[in-house]
Amino acid sequence: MNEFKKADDDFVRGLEWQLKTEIRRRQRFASAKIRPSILGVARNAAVITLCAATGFAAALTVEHLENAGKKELLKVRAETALEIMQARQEVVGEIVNDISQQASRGLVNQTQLAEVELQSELVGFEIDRARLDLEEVELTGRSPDDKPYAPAVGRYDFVTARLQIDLLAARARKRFIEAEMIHLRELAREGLVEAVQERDMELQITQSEAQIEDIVRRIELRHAYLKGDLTARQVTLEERRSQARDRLEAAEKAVELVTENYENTAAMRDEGLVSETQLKEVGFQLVTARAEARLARAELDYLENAIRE
Amino acid sequence: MITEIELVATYRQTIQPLYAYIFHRAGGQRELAEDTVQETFMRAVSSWQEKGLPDVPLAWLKTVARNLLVSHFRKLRPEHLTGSFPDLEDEDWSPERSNGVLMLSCGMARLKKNQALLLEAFYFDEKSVREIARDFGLSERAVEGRLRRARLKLRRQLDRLMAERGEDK
Repeated sequence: MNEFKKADDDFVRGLEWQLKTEIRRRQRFASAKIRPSILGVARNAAVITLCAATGFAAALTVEHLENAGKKELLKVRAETALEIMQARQEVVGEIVNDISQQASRGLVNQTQLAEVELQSELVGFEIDRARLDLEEVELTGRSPDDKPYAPAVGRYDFVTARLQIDLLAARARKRFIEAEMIHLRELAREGLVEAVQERDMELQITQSEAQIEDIVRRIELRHAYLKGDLTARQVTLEERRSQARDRLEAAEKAVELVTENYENTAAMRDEGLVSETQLKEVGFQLVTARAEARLARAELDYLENAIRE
Repeated sequence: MITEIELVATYRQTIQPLYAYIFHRAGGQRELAEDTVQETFMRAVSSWQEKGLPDVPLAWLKTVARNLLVSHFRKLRPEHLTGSFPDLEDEDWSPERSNGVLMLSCGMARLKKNQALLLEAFYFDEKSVREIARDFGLSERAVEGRLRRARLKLRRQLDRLMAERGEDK
């Protein structure tokens, strides 16, 4: 009986055609009714003036116009965002060239070069994202929707496409930090940097791993939603739970590292190598890290209860 | 207001899950399932054109489709019913393998909505008590109790249907 649970291809095609025809017919004959009145146009103009005057122009006017069906403005906004990114890419590209030449002459170190190269790569991802935003605005006439339960548009699933770009960007950041870590360890072996810097870097790696895991999970949740396995509420709660888990994991790792740092600093203080104030500073970091871990735990407990209910 | 692109995208995304949801509830009758799905989407065009796309289109479609079917089964006269009496005690009962799916749908259509939804989740969606408890926000024990009571009510409805059809089960 299983094969019957799937709608017949002819039926699916036929109904799609019927729906397309129906919506076109409705839009064609209803267009006169939905044309905005002179009063409506005047009201929009008043809102723009008011928003501009009160300093909320950017957000409020766009939102209001969007509601009023001014798709063109959204498109212009998306195009402008893309142009700004492209201009930024040119500038970053020139900086990369300059730094690269300086690095070859030994005027700047490899870390500085790697940093600008990463920036250049990240701007490339931002451009990809901006292109997707523009495409979505052109297709739907609405602001890009990043909600995990946003509908797919035509053959395109913009939410997943953007998440995949975010994933590439997060992986690029992690690669940079890992390369830095290797470099830092070499310097630490030669006694040129303190062990504290190495631990800070470890913490950054943990955070970037958590970020990658979070994006991967969001992609999985998105797929589950599109397949109809999860409702919008379930997707939202699951997303928040996985973020809370990552925050807890990162916070616990931070407590572990800062505790170790505190113990080392205390030992150094006892030998007179660091001052009492420096120890207090690390002590403050420890208190903060523990508080953040407690907060992350409480948040996770709350979400798990909400999911169970 | 919904655009043609949005409508088609939503349609392609929801047609198969909606059809799968409806198929068993329609007693495994392809023609009835197709009619219900078609009517549901036509109503969607009308509503979404006016109010815009709902947050969860599939949930909206399932609700409308289910209401259409319940309405259909409530109007259906018992003498037009075909199929056997479903064995509700059979632990291996499954809409895939067992007879009496149409009778079951008719019986459920005559129950209160909350009871019918629980039984549908159990029999048609083949969810475990644990999954139902999670979905409905109840304890597993509460679900077991409610399922037991809903089954009793369903049995009475089925007995009545069989009696009206002029035969004992």
